[in-house]
Amino acid sequence: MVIADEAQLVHRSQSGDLDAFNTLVQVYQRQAYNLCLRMLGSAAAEDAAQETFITAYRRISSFRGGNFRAWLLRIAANICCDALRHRRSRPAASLEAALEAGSPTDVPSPLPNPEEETLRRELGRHLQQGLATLPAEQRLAIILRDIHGLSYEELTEALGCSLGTVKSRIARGRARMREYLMARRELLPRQFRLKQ
Amino acid sequence: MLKVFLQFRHRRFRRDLSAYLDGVLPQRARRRLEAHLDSCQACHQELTELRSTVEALGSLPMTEVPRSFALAAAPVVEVRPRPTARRLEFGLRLATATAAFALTLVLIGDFAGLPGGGDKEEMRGGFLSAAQETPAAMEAAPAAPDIKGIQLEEPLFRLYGPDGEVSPTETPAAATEAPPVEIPAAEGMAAADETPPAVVATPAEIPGAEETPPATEAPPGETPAAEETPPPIGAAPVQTPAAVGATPAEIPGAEETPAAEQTPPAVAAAPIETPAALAPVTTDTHGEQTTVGAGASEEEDAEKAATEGAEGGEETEAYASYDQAAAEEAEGGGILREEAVRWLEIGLGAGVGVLAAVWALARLQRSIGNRP
Repeated sequence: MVIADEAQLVHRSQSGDLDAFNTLVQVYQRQAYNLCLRMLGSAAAEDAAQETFITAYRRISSFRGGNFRAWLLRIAANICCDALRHRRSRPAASLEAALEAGSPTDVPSPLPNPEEETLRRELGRHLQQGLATLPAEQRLAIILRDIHGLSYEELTEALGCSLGTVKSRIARGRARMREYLMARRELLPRQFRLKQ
Repeated sequence: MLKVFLQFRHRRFRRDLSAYLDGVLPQRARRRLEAHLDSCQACHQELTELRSTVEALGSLPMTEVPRSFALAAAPVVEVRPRPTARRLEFGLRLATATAAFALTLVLIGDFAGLPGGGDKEEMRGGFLSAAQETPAAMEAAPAAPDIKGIQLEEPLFRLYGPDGEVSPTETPAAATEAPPVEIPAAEGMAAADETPPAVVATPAEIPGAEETPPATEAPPGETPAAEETPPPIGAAPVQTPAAVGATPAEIPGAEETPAAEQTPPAVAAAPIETPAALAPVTTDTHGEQTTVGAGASEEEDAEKAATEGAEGGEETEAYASYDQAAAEEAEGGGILREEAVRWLEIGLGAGVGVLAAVWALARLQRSIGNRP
Protein backbone atom coordinates (compact mmCIF):
# COMPACT_ATOMS: atom_id res chain seq x y z
CA MET A 1 0.00 0.00 0.00
CA VAL A 2 2.43 2.61 -1.17
CA ILE A 3 0.87 5.72 -2.49
CA ALA A 4 2.47 7.48 -5.41
CA ASP A 5 3.11 10.78 -3.75
CA GLU A 6 4.00 9.39 -0.36
CA ALA A 7 7.42 10.98 -0.40
CA GLN A 8 5.87 14.32 -1.17
CA LEU A 9 3.33 13.93 1.60
CA VAL A 10 6.08 13.05 4.01
CA HIS A 11 8.06 16.05 2.89
CA ARG A 12 5.09 18.34 3.37
CA SER A 13 4.40 16.83 6.76
CA GLN A 14 7.96 17.52 7.73
CA SER A 15 7.38 21.17 6.98
CA GLY A 16 4.40 21.14 9.32
CA ASP A 17 1.55 20.48 6.87
CA LEU A 18 -1.02 18.72 9.04
CA ASP A 19 -3.33 17.92 6.13
CA ALA A 20 -0.57 16.10 4.32
CA PHE A 21 0.17 14.14 7.46
CA ASN A 22 -3.50 13.29 7.93
CA THR A 23 -3.55 11.88 4.41
CA LEU A 24 -0.78 9.53 5.48
CA VAL A 25 -2.78 8.70 8.61
CA GLN A 26 -5.75 7.72 6.46
CA VAL A 27 -3.57 5.40 4.43
CA TYR A 28 -1.82 3.64 7.31
CA GLN A 29 -4.21 3.85 10.23
CA ARG A 30 -5.73 0.45 9.57
CA GLN A 31 -2.37 -1.28 9.68
CA ALA A 32 -1.25 0.59 12.75
CA TYR A 33 -4.52 -0.10 14.52
CA ASN A 34 -4.48 -3.79 13.64
CA LEU A 35 -0.95 -4.20 14.89
CA CYS A 36 -1.94 -2.60 18.19
CA LEU A 37 -5.06 -4.73 18.30
CA ARG A 38 -3.14 -7.99 17.87
CA MET A 39 -0.50 -6.94 20.35
CA LEU A 40 -2.62 -5.34 23.06
CA GLY A 41 -6.26 -6.26 22.54
CA SER A 42 -9.07 -3.91 21.68
CA ALA A 43 -9.20 -2.14 25.02
CA ALA A 44 -5.78 -0.56 24.57
CA ALA A 45 -5.46 -0.67 20.79
CA GLU A 46 -7.25 2.56 20.08
CA ASP A 47 -5.16 4.62 22.45
CA ALA A 48 -1.98 2.98 21.23
CA ALA A 49 -2.85 3.68 17.60
CA GLN A 50 -3.61 7.31 18.37
CA GLU A 51 -0.38 7.57 20.30
CA THR A 52 1.44 6.16 17.29
CA PHE A 53 0.27 8.94 15.01
CA ILE A 54 0.89 11.68 17.56
CA THR A 55 4.42 10.38 18.06
CA ALA A 56 4.91 10.00 14.32
CA TYR A 57 3.91 13.61 13.75
CA ARG A 58 6.27 14.82 16.43
CA ARG A 59 9.14 12.76 15.14
CA ILE A 60 8.54 13.04 11.44
CA SER A 61 11.44 15.42 11.04
CA SER A 62 13.74 12.56 12.00
CA PHE A 63 12.42 10.37 9.17
CA ARG A 64 15.25 10.21 6.66
CA GLY A 65 13.51 8.52 3.80
CA GLY A 66 13.16 4.79 3.24
CA ASN A 67 10.04 2.84 3.94
CA PHE A 68 7.46 5.02 5.68
CA ARG A 69 5.20 2.11 6.54
CA ALA A 70 8.04 0.27 8.28
CA TRP A 71 8.99 3.46 10.13
CA LEU A 72 5.43 4.01 11.27
CA LEU A 73 4.91 0.40 12.28
CA ARG A 74 8.10 0.53 14.26
CA ILE A 75 6.70 3.43 16.28
CA ALA A 76 3.53 1.41 16.82
CA ALA A 77 5.57 -1.64 17.78
CA ASN A 78 7.58 0.33 20.32
CA ILE A 79 4.45 1.79 21.84
CA CYS A 80 2.95 -1.69 22.08
CA CYS A 81 6.08 -3.09 23.70
CA ASP A 82 6.11 -0.27 26.23
CA ALA A 83 2.46 -0.87 26.99
CA LEU A 84 3.12 -4.58 27.49
CA ARG A 85 6.04 -3.82 29.77
CA HIS A 86 3.89 -1.40 31.70
CA ARG A 87 1.17 -4.03 31.93
CA ARG A 88 3.61 -6.67 33.13
CA SER A 89 4.64 -4.42 35.96
CA ARG A 90 0.98 -4.44 37.03
CA PRO A 91 0.06 -8.11 37.25
CA ALA A 92 -3.61 -7.33 37.85
CA ALA A 93 -4.06 -6.82 34.14
CA SER A 94 -3.72 -10.17 32.44
CA LEU A 95 -2.51 -10.09 28.88
CA GLU A 96 -4.44 -13.15 27.84
CA ALA A 97 -7.62 -11.77 29.30
CA ALA A 98 -7.10 -8.49 27.54
CA LEU A 99 -6.38 -10.21 24.26
CA GLU A 100 -9.37 -12.48 24.51
CA ALA A 101 -11.66 -9.66 25.48
CA GLY A 102 -10.53 -7.68 22.51
CA SER A 103 -10.28 -10.52 20.07
CA PRO A 104 -10.43 -9.07 16.58
CA THR A 105 -12.47 -12.08 15.46
CA ASP A 106 -15.52 -10.45 17.01
CA VAL A 107 -15.58 -8.11 14.08
CA PRO A 108 -18.28 -8.85 11.52
CA SER A 109 -16.99 -10.74 8.53
CA PRO A 110 -17.79 -10.19 4.90
CA LEU A 111 -18.22 -13.95 4.39
CA PRO A 112 -21.84 -14.79 3.59
CA ASN A 113 -21.74 -18.41 4.75
CA PRO A 114 -22.59 -18.67 8.49
CA GLU A 115 -20.79 -21.99 8.88
CA GLU A 116 -17.61 -20.61 7.39
CA GLU A 117 -18.01 -17.61 9.55
CA THR A 118 -18.18 -19.79 12.66
CA LEU A 119 -15.13 -21.79 11.61
CA ARG A 120 -13.19 -18.66 10.90
CA ARG A 121 -14.06 -17.22 14.27
CA GLU A 122 -13.04 -20.43 15.97
CA LEU A 123 -9.73 -20.53 14.18
CA GLY A 124 -9.18 -16.83 14.84
CA ARG A 125 -9.77 -17.31 18.52
CA HIS A 126 -7.25 -20.14 18.73
CA LEU A 127 -4.71 -18.21 16.73
CA GLN A 128 -5.14 -15.19 18.93
CA GLN A 129 -4.69 -17.29 22.04
CA GLY A 130 -1.63 -18.91 20.50
CA LEU A 131 -0.16 -15.53 19.66
CA ALA A 132 -0.70 -14.43 23.24
CA THR A 133 1.59 -17.22 24.42
CA LEU A 134 4.52 -15.99 22.35
CA PRO A 135 7.18 -13.63 23.65
CA ALA A 136 6.47 -10.06 22.51
CA GLU A 137 9.25 -9.87 19.94
CA GLN A 138 8.25 -13.17 18.29
CA ARG A 139 4.61 -12.16 18.30
CA LEU A 140 5.50 -8.86 16.70
CA ALA A 141 7.54 -10.57 13.99
CA ILE A 142 4.80 -13.11 13.25
CA ILE A 143 2.05 -10.48 13.11
CA LEU A 144 4.02 -8.20 10.84
CA ARG A 145 5.13 -11.02 8.57
CA ASP A 146 2.17 -13.38 8.37
CA ILE A 147 -0.77 -11.05 8.99
CA HIS A 148 0.50 -7.72 7.64
CA GLY A 149 2.62 -9.32 4.96
CA LEU A 150 5.75 -7.22 5.42
CA SER A 151 8.80 -8.30 3.49
CA TYR A 152 11.93 -9.35 5.36
CA GLU A 153 13.60 -6.06 4.41
CA GLU A 154 10.68 -4.10 5.83
CA LEU A 155 10.80 -6.26 8.92
CA THR A 156 14.41 -5.37 9.58
CA GLU A 157 13.36 -1.72 9.59
CA ALA A 158 10.18 -2.20 11.55
CA LEU A 159 11.79 -4.38 14.19
CA GLY A 160 15.09 -2.56 14.18
CA CYS A 161 17.20 -5.70 14.01
CA SER A 162 19.25 -7.69 11.55
CA LEU A 163 17.91 -10.02 8.89
CA GLY A 164 19.24 -13.01 10.79
CA THR A 165 17.40 -11.95 13.93
CA VAL A 166 14.22 -11.41 11.96
CA LYS A 167 14.46 -14.88 10.41
CA SER A 168 15.16 -16.43 13.76
CA ARG A 169 12.24 -14.70 15.49
CA ILE A 170 9.86 -15.70 12.73
CA ALA A 171 11.09 -19.30 12.71
CA ARG A 172 10.77 -19.63 16.48
CA GLY A 173 7.43 -17.90 16.58
CA ARG A 174 6.01 -20.08 13.85
CA ALA A 175 7.36 -23.23 15.42
CA ARG A 176 5.68 -22.35 18.69
CA MET A 177 2.45 -21.46 16.96
CA ARG A 178 2.54 -24.79 15.14
CA GLU A 179 3.05 -26.64 18.40
CA TYR A 180 0.24 -24.69 20.02
CA LEU A 181 -2.20 -25.44 17.23
CA MET A 182 -1.15 -29.07 16.88
CA ALA A 183 -1.73 -29.64 20.57
CA ARG A 184 -5.31 -28.53 19.99
CA ARG A 185 -5.85 -29.98 16.59
CA GLU A 186 -9.09 -31.69 17.53
CA LEU A 187 -10.53 -28.32 18.51
CA LEU A 188 -9.56 -26.68 15.26
CA PRO A 189 -11.85 -26.19 12.33
CA ARG A 190 -11.88 -28.83 9.64
CA GLN A 191 -10.12 -26.66 7.10
CA PHE A 192 -7.07 -26.63 9.29
CA ARG A 193 -7.13 -30.31 10.10
CA LEU A 194 -7.38 -31.33 6.47
CA LYS A 195 -3.97 -29.91 5.69
CA GLN A 196 -2.04 -32.12 8.06
CA MET B 1 28.12 -40.55 17.04
CA LEU B 2 26.50 -40.78 13.66
CA LYS B 3 23.16 -40.59 15.35
CA VAL B 4 24.09 -37.38 17.13
CA PHE B 5 25.37 -35.89 13.90
CA LEU B 6 22.19 -36.83 12.08
CA GLN B 7 20.11 -35.38 14.87
CA PHE B 8 22.09 -32.16 14.69
CA ARG B 9 21.59 -31.97 10.93
CA HIS B 10 17.93 -32.74 11.33
CA ARG B 11 17.53 -29.90 13.84
CA ARG B 12 19.26 -27.51 11.49
CA PHE B 13 16.93 -28.49 8.67
CA ARG B 14 13.93 -27.96 10.89
CA ARG B 15 15.18 -24.49 11.70
CA ASP B 16 15.40 -23.69 7.99
CA LEU B 17 11.82 -24.72 7.25
CA SER B 18 10.37 -21.28 8.01
CA ALA B 19 12.81 -19.45 5.73
CA TYR B 20 12.20 -22.11 3.09
CA LEU B 21 8.45 -21.42 3.22
CA ASP B 22 9.10 -17.73 2.63
CA GLY B 23 11.58 -18.41 -0.14
CA VAL B 24 14.40 -16.58 1.62
CA LEU B 25 16.66 -19.58 2.10
CA PRO B 26 19.92 -19.35 0.11
CA GLN B 27 19.97 -21.58 -2.91
CA ARG B 28 22.49 -24.10 -1.62
CA ALA B 29 20.72 -24.49 1.69
CA ARG B 30 17.43 -24.80 -0.14
CA ARG B 31 18.70 -27.62 -2.33
CA ARG B 32 20.11 -29.42 0.68
CA LEU B 33 16.83 -29.03 2.54
CA GLU B 34 14.80 -30.27 -0.40
CA ALA B 35 17.00 -33.36 -0.64
CA HIS B 36 16.51 -33.93 3.06
CA LEU B 37 12.74 -33.44 2.80
CA ASP B 38 12.56 -36.21 0.22
CA SER B 39 14.07 -38.66 2.66
CA CYS B 40 12.79 -37.39 6.02
CA GLN B 41 9.13 -37.94 6.67
CA ALA B 42 9.13 -36.07 9.98
CA CYS B 43 10.51 -32.91 8.42
CA HIS B 44 8.09 -33.21 5.56
CA GLN B 45 5.21 -33.46 8.01
CA GLU B 46 6.49 -30.51 9.97
CA LEU B 47 6.76 -28.43 6.82
CA THR B 48 3.15 -29.20 5.98
CA GLU B 49 2.00 -28.22 9.44
CA LEU B 50 4.07 -25.09 9.38
CA ARG B 51 2.59 -24.12 6.04
CA SER B 52 -0.91 -24.63 7.44
CA THR B 53 -0.03 -22.46 10.42
CA VAL B 54 1.23 -19.67 8.19
CA GLU B 55 -1.85 -19.91 5.99
CA ALA B 56 -4.11 -19.82 9.02
CA LEU B 57 -2.33 -16.72 10.33
CA GLY B 58 -2.60 -15.14 6.90
CA SER B 59 -6.34 -15.78 6.92
CA LEU B 60 -6.85 -13.57 9.96
CA PRO B 61 -8.74 -10.52 8.85
CA MET B 62 -7.56 -6.94 9.09
CA THR B 63 -10.08 -5.15 11.24
CA GLU B 64 -11.53 -1.82 10.24
CA VAL B 65 -10.57 1.10 12.41
CA PRO B 66 -13.21 2.10 14.95
CA ARG B 67 -12.61 5.78 14.17
CA SER B 68 -10.29 8.01 12.26
CA PHE B 69 -6.94 8.64 13.88
CA ALA B 70 -6.33 11.83 11.93
CA LEU B 71 -4.99 14.61 14.09
CA ALA B 72 -7.38 17.47 14.71
CA ALA B 73 -4.60 19.85 15.62
CA ALA B 74 -0.87 19.67 15.41
CA PRO B 75 0.48 18.22 18.63
CA VAL B 76 2.98 20.36 20.44
CA VAL B 77 6.43 19.32 19.48
CA GLU B 78 8.40 19.06 22.66
CA VAL B 79 11.70 20.78 22.95
CA ARG B 80 14.08 18.39 24.58
CA PRO B 81 17.50 19.01 26.01
CA ARG B 82 18.38 15.64 24.57
CA PRO B 83 21.00 16.71 22.00
CA THR B 84 23.01 18.49 24.70
CA ALA B 85 22.66 15.57 27.03
CA ARG B 86 23.72 13.25 24.27
CA ARG B 87 26.74 15.36 23.55
CA LEU B 88 27.65 15.39 27.22
CA GLU B 89 27.18 11.67 27.37
CA PHE B 90 29.36 11.22 24.34
CA GLY B 91 32.02 13.42 25.91
CA LEU B 92 31.97 11.42 29.10
CA ARG B 93 32.19 8.16 27.25
CA LEU B 94 35.05 9.47 25.18
CA ALA B 95 36.83 10.58 28.34
CA THR B 96 36.26 7.16 29.83
CA ALA B 97 37.58 5.44 26.76
CA THR B 98 40.67 7.65 26.70
CA ALA B 99 41.33 7.08 30.37
CA ALA B 100 40.90 3.34 29.93
CA PHE B 101 43.35 3.42 27.07
CA ALA B 102 45.85 5.38 29.14
CA LEU B 103 45.42 2.95 32.00
CA THR B 104 46.01 0.02 29.70
CA LEU B 105 49.17 1.62 28.36
CA VAL B 106 50.49 2.27 31.83
CA LEU B 107 49.67 -1.26 32.93
CA ILE B 108 51.39 -2.71 29.92
CA GLY B 109 54.36 -0.47 30.63
CA ASP B 110 54.48 -1.67 34.20
CA PHE B 111 54.24 -5.33 33.39
CA ALA B 112 56.68 -5.13 30.52
CA GLY B 113 59.18 -3.53 32.90
CA LEU B 114 59.70 -0.43 30.85
CA PRO B 115 62.09 2.12 32.34
CA GLY B 116 60.70 4.44 34.90
CA GLY B 117 62.30 3.33 38.17
CA GLY B 118 60.52 1.76 41.10
CA ASP B 119 57.96 0.10 38.88
CA LYS B 120 56.61 -2.26 41.44
CA GLU B 121 56.34 0.30 44.10
CA GLU B 122 54.50 2.60 41.77
CA MET B 123 52.16 -0.07 40.72
CA ARG B 124 51.32 -0.91 44.26
CA GLY B 125 50.92 2.74 45.11
CA GLY B 126 48.65 3.29 42.18
CA PHE B 127 46.48 0.33 42.90
CA LEU B 128 46.11 0.95 46.54
CA SER B 129 45.60 4.63 46.85
CA ALA B 130 47.25 7.27 44.82
CA ALA B 131 46.30 9.91 47.32
CA GLN B 132 48.44 8.57 50.09
CA GLU B 133 51.32 7.06 48.26
CA THR B 134 51.92 9.68 45.68
CA PRO B 135 52.83 12.51 48.00
CA ALA B 136 54.86 10.14 50.08
CA ALA B 137 56.96 8.96 47.22
CA MET B 138 57.30 12.37 45.71
CA GLU B 139 58.34 14.01 48.87
CA ALA B 140 60.71 11.39 50.05
CA ALA B 141 62.47 10.66 46.82
CA PRO B 142 65.41 12.94 47.56
CA ALA B 143 65.64 11.65 51.08
CA ALA B 144 65.77 8.06 49.98
CA PRO B 145 69.49 7.44 50.32
CA ASP B 146 69.48 8.65 53.90
CA ILE B 147 66.90 6.31 55.26
CA LYS B 148 67.81 3.35 53.14
CA GLY B 149 67.42 -0.07 54.64
CA ILE B 150 65.29 0.51 57.64
CA GLN B 151 63.41 -2.35 59.18
CA LEU B 152 60.42 -1.63 56.98
CA GLU B 153 61.40 -4.17 54.38
CA GLU B 154 59.90 -7.07 56.16
CA PRO B 155 56.37 -5.85 56.72
CA LEU B 156 56.37 -4.64 53.17
CA PHE B 157 57.24 -8.06 51.95
CA ARG B 158 54.66 -9.58 54.14
CA LEU B 159 52.04 -7.35 52.68
CA TYR B 160 53.06 -7.09 49.08
CA GLY B 161 55.63 -9.76 48.73
CA PRO B 162 54.15 -12.41 46.42
CA ASP B 163 56.66 -11.54 43.74
CA GLY B 164 60.12 -11.86 45.11
CA GLU B 165 61.83 -9.72 42.54
CA VAL B 166 60.40 -6.68 44.12
CA SER B 167 63.01 -6.48 46.84
CA PRO B 168 65.99 -4.73 45.26
CA THR B 169 64.08 -1.94 43.64
CA GLU B 170 61.48 -1.60 46.25
CA THR B 171 63.50 -1.26 49.39
CA PRO B 172 64.60 2.32 48.95
CA ALA B 173 61.28 3.37 47.68
CA ALA B 174 59.49 1.65 50.49
CA ALA B 175 61.78 3.21 52.97
CA THR B 176 61.17 6.57 51.53
CA GLU B 177 57.51 6.14 51.65
CA ALA B 178 57.32 5.63 55.31
CA PRO B 179 58.80 8.82 56.69
CA PRO B 180 56.25 11.26 55.35
CA VAL B 181 53.56 9.39 57.10
CA GLU B 182 55.66 9.20 60.15
CA ILE B 183 56.70 12.80 60.19
CA PRO B 184 53.21 14.12 60.52
CA ALA B 185 52.82 11.63 63.28
CA ALA B 186 55.69 13.15 65.16
CA GLU B 187 54.67 16.70 64.46
CA GLY B 188 51.04 16.20 64.97
CA MET B 189 51.56 14.77 68.43
CA ALA B 190 50.70 11.10 68.58
CA ALA B 191 49.12 11.04 65.18
CA ALA B 192 50.92 7.76 64.67
CA ASP B 193 48.76 6.33 67.34
CA GLU B 194 45.77 7.56 65.61
CA THR B 195 46.62 5.88 62.33
CA PRO B 196 46.47 2.24 63.35
CA PRO B 197 42.69 1.96 63.52
CA ALA B 198 42.63 3.19 59.98
CA VAL B 199 45.41 0.84 58.98
CA VAL B 200 43.23 -2.15 59.45
CA ALA B 201 41.00 -1.03 56.72
CA THR B 202 43.15 1.27 54.67
CA PRO B 203 45.66 0.15 52.15
CA ALA B 204 47.02 3.62 51.84
CA GLU B 205 48.00 3.86 55.43
CA ILE B 206 50.01 0.70 55.42
CA PRO B 207 53.41 2.35 55.03
CA GLY B 208 52.69 4.32 58.13
CA ALA B 209 51.77 1.19 59.93
CA GLU B 210 54.81 -0.67 58.83
CA GLU B 211 57.15 1.32 60.95
CA THR B 212 55.20 0.25 63.98
CA PRO B 213 54.35 -3.34 63.14
CA PRO B 214 52.40 -4.09 66.32
CA ALA B 215 50.09 -1.24 65.46
CA THR B 216 48.76 -3.04 62.43
CA GLU B 217 48.00 -6.18 64.27
CA ALA B 218 46.67 -4.73 67.46
CA PRO B 219 44.79 -1.53 66.94
CA PRO B 220 42.86 -1.86 70.17
CA GLY B 221 46.08 -1.54 72.10
CA GLU B 222 46.70 1.74 70.42
CA THR B 223 43.30 3.19 70.74
CA PRO B 224 43.77 4.59 74.22
CA ALA B 225 46.50 6.71 72.75
CA ALA B 226 44.08 8.00 70.24
CA GLU B 227 41.67 8.83 72.96
CA GLU B 228 44.29 10.76 74.81
CA THR B 229 45.18 12.83 71.83
CA PRO B 230 44.47 16.55 71.81
CA PRO B 231 41.34 17.84 70.08
CA PRO B 232 42.65 18.21 66.51
CA ILE B 233 43.94 14.67 66.56
CA GLY B 234 41.04 13.36 68.47
CA ALA B 235 38.84 14.57 65.68
CA ALA B 236 40.76 12.67 63.04
CA PRO B 237 40.01 9.11 64.19
CA VAL B 238 36.36 9.93 64.10
CA GLN B 239 36.65 10.55 60.43
CA THR B 240 39.03 7.78 59.55
CA PRO B 241 37.02 4.66 60.22
CA ALA B 242 34.15 5.99 58.24
CA ALA B 243 35.85 7.13 55.13
CA VAL B 244 39.07 5.35 55.54
CA GLY B 245 41.40 4.83 52.66
CA ALA B 246 40.52 7.36 50.13
CA THR B 247 38.80 10.22 51.78
CA PRO B 248 40.31 13.62 51.57
CA ALA B 249 39.46 13.77 55.25
CA GLU B 250 42.84 12.22 55.87
CA ILE B 251 44.62 14.72 53.80
CA PRO B 252 43.35 17.51 56.03
CA GLY B 253 45.02 15.47 58.73
CA ALA B 254 48.16 16.12 56.81
CA GLU B 255 47.58 19.83 56.95
CA GLU B 256 49.53 19.82 60.13
CA THR B 257 52.42 18.44 58.20
CA PRO B 258 54.56 20.05 55.56
CA ALA B 259 53.49 17.32 53.16
CA ALA B 260 50.16 18.99 52.51
CA GLU B 261 51.37 21.17 49.70
CA GLN B 262 52.67 18.18 47.79
CA THR B 263 49.29 16.59 47.58
CA PRO B 264 47.57 17.92 44.51
CA PRO B 265 43.86 18.28 45.24
CA ALA B 266 42.96 16.19 42.26
CA VAL B 267 45.13 13.36 43.45
CA ALA B 268 43.63 13.58 46.85
CA ALA B 269 40.11 13.51 45.60
CA ALA B 270 40.47 10.95 42.90
CA PRO B 271 40.63 7.64 44.74
CA ILE B 272 37.37 8.24 46.54
CA GLU B 273 35.45 6.57 43.83
CA THR B 274 36.88 3.12 43.63
CA PRO B 275 39.67 2.09 45.95
CA ALA B 276 37.52 2.98 48.91
CA ALA B 277 34.99 0.47 47.75
CA LEU B 278 37.29 -2.16 46.35
CA ALA B 279 40.58 -2.25 48.15
CA PRO B 280 40.13 -1.53 51.84
CA VAL B 281 38.08 -4.51 52.78
CA THR B 282 40.63 -7.04 51.75
CA THR B 283 44.02 -5.41 51.77
CA ASP B 284 45.10 -6.30 55.24
CA THR B 285 45.27 -9.94 54.31
CA HIS B 286 45.66 -10.25 50.57
CA GLY B 287 47.98 -7.49 49.65
CA GLU B 288 48.89 -7.02 46.08
CA GLN B 289 46.96 -9.81 44.47
CA THR B 290 43.69 -8.48 45.66
CA THR B 291 44.39 -4.98 44.63
CA VAL B 292 45.70 -6.01 41.25
CA GLY B 293 42.45 -7.84 40.77
CA ALA B 294 40.56 -4.76 41.70
CA GLY B 295 42.60 -2.71 39.29
CA ALA B 296 41.94 -5.15 36.51
CA SER B 297 38.24 -5.06 37.12
CA GLU B 298 38.32 -1.29 37.05
CA GLU B 299 40.01 -1.43 33.76
CA GLU B 300 37.51 -3.90 32.44
CA ASP B 301 34.73 -1.67 33.61
CA ALA B 302 36.24 1.26 31.89
CA GLU B 303 36.78 -0.63 28.70
CA LYS B 304 33.32 -2.05 28.83
CA ALA B 305 31.96 1.40 29.27
CA ALA B 306 34.04 2.49 26.33
CA THR B 307 32.79 -0.25 24.06
CA GLU B 308 29.28 0.34 25.21
CA GLY B 309 29.88 3.91 24.33
CA ALA B 310 30.42 2.95 20.74
CA GLU B 311 27.44 0.64 20.64
CA GLY B 312 25.32 2.92 22.71
CA GLY B 313 26.07 5.79 20.37
CA GLU B 314 24.81 3.88 17.40
CA GLU B 315 21.87 2.62 19.30
CA THR B 316 20.95 6.08 20.43
CA GLU B 317 21.15 7.33 16.89
CA ALA B 318 19.10 4.50 15.56
CA TYR B 319 16.47 4.41 18.22
CA ALA B 320 16.35 7.93 19.48
CA SER B 321 14.35 9.07 16.53
CA TYR B 322 11.22 7.47 17.76
CA ASP B 323 11.87 4.72 20.20
CA GLN B 324 12.77 6.81 23.20
CA ALA B 325 10.41 9.57 22.29
CA ALA B 326 7.60 7.11 22.00
CA ALA B 327 8.58 5.52 25.24
CA GLU B 328 8.74 8.75 27.14
CA GLU B 329 5.53 10.02 25.77
CA ALA B 330 3.81 6.80 26.57
CA GLU B 331 5.29 7.03 30.05
CA GLY B 332 7.12 3.76 29.59
CA GLY B 333 8.57 2.97 32.98
CA GLY B 334 11.04 0.51 31.48
CA ILE B 335 12.74 3.10 29.37
CA LEU B 336 12.97 5.51 32.29
CA ARG B 337 14.66 2.81 34.30
CA GLU B 338 17.03 2.13 31.44
CA GLU B 339 17.84 5.83 31.31
CA ALA B 340 18.62 5.85 35.00
CA VAL B 341 20.82 2.79 34.67
CA ARG B 342 22.60 4.31 31.74
CA TRP B 343 23.34 7.50 33.61
CA LEU B 344 24.55 5.50 36.55
CA GLU B 345 26.81 3.62 34.22
CA ILE B 346 28.09 6.88 32.76
CA GLY B 347 28.76 8.20 36.25
CA LEU B 348 30.68 5.11 37.21
CA GLY B 349 32.55 5.15 33.94
CA ALA B 350 33.48 8.78 34.42
CA GLY B 351 34.62 8.10 37.97
CA VAL B 352 36.84 5.25 36.89
CA GLY B 353 38.08 7.36 34.02
CA VAL B 354 39.05 10.27 36.24
CA LEU B 355 40.73 7.92 38.66
CA ALA B 356 42.69 6.23 35.90
CA ALA B 357 43.71 9.54 34.37
CA VAL B 358 44.88 10.92 37.69
CA TRP B 359 46.76 7.78 38.47
CA ALA B 360 48.41 7.75 35.06
CA LEU B 361 49.39 11.39 35.55
CA ALA B 362 50.76 10.71 38.97
CA ARG B 363 52.75 7.80 37.68
CA LEU B 364 54.15 9.82 34.84
CA GLN B 365 55.12 12.56 37.24
CA ARG B 366 56.79 10.07 39.52
CA SER B 367 58.66 8.32 36.77
CA ILE B 368 59.97 11.68 35.63
CA GLY B 369 60.97 12.48 39.19
CA ASN B 370 62.72 9.15 39.66
CA ARG B 371 64.62 9.33 36.46
CA PRO B 372 68.26 9.96 37.16
